[in-house]
Amino acid sequence: MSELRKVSPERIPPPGGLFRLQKAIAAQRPAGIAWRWLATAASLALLALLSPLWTSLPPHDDGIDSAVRGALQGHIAGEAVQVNDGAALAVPSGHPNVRIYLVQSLPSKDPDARP
Amino acid sequence: MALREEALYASYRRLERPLYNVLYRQLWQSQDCQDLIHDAFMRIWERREKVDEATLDALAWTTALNLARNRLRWRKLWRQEPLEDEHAEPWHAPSQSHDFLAERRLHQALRELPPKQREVLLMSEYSELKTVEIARALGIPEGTVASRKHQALARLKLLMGGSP
Repeated sequence: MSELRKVSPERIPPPGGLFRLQKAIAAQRPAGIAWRWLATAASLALLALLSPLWTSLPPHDDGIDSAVRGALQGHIAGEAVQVNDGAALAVPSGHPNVRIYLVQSLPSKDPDARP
Repeated sequence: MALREEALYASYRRLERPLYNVLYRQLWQSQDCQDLIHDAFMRIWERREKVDEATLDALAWTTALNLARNRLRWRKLWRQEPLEDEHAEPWHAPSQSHDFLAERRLHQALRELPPKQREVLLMSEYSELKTVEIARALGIPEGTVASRKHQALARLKLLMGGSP
C-alpha cells in the first residue's frame, strides 16, 4: 500500500539517538568498574588491619602444650610446678591467688618443627 | 555468546529509522518514540548475556513494540492525549510537500483500527521487513500477518472514505 506512504511520508528520527544510547551505556560502565575497585580496596584495607594481629599471635608449639599439661598433672595447689623436658619460671602475678609461670620447652628434635 | 556493544550500535543504526516510523504512527509524538527506542535498546543491553546477535533485530522490534503497547495502554488508562508535534522540528517534517489534512485523517483512521491489525499494517509498510520477519517479531504465523494486513487495509479504506 504505497498510498499510505504518500499520505504519511517517512520521517527522519530526531538526531542524537545513537549518541544518547552510547552515553547511557558508557555511564553504566565506570560505575561498575568503580564498584569493583571499591570492593577490592575494602578487602585489602580489612586484610591490612588484620595482618598485624595475625603476625603477633605466638607460634603454636606442641612442646609447650605437653610441658604445661605435664606440669599441671598431679600438681598440688600452693606448690611449685615441675616441668619435664623444659623449665618453668614463676612470674609475679600481682594477685595472691593467681600464679603465673613462664614455661619453656626444650627444642624439638624434629628439624622441620616450628620453634 | 553475549551481545557485543558494537553489534548493539549497528542494530540501532539499522533499525532506528524504521522503528521510529512504525512507532510514530502509533504514538504520534516524536520524543515518546525516541525514548521508547532508547529504552528498548537499553533493556536489551541489560540482558546482553542472554542475547543472541543473530536474533538481535527481531528482539529489538519485539521489545520496542511491547513498550509502545504499554505506553498506549497507559495513555488510555489516564485518558492522556499526546500533544502532536508534527512539523514542530525541522528534522521531523517530511522532505516533500504533502497533504497534512489527509495525514490527520489517516491518524484518526489508524486510531480506529484494532491494535494488532494496526501493528501489522504499519510494520509491513514502514519497517522494510519481509512477512516472515514481521511474523517472527510479533510471534504469529505468516498467514496471520497476511490476513491482519488485509483486514487492516480494508478497514482503513472504509475509514478514510476510500482515499488510500
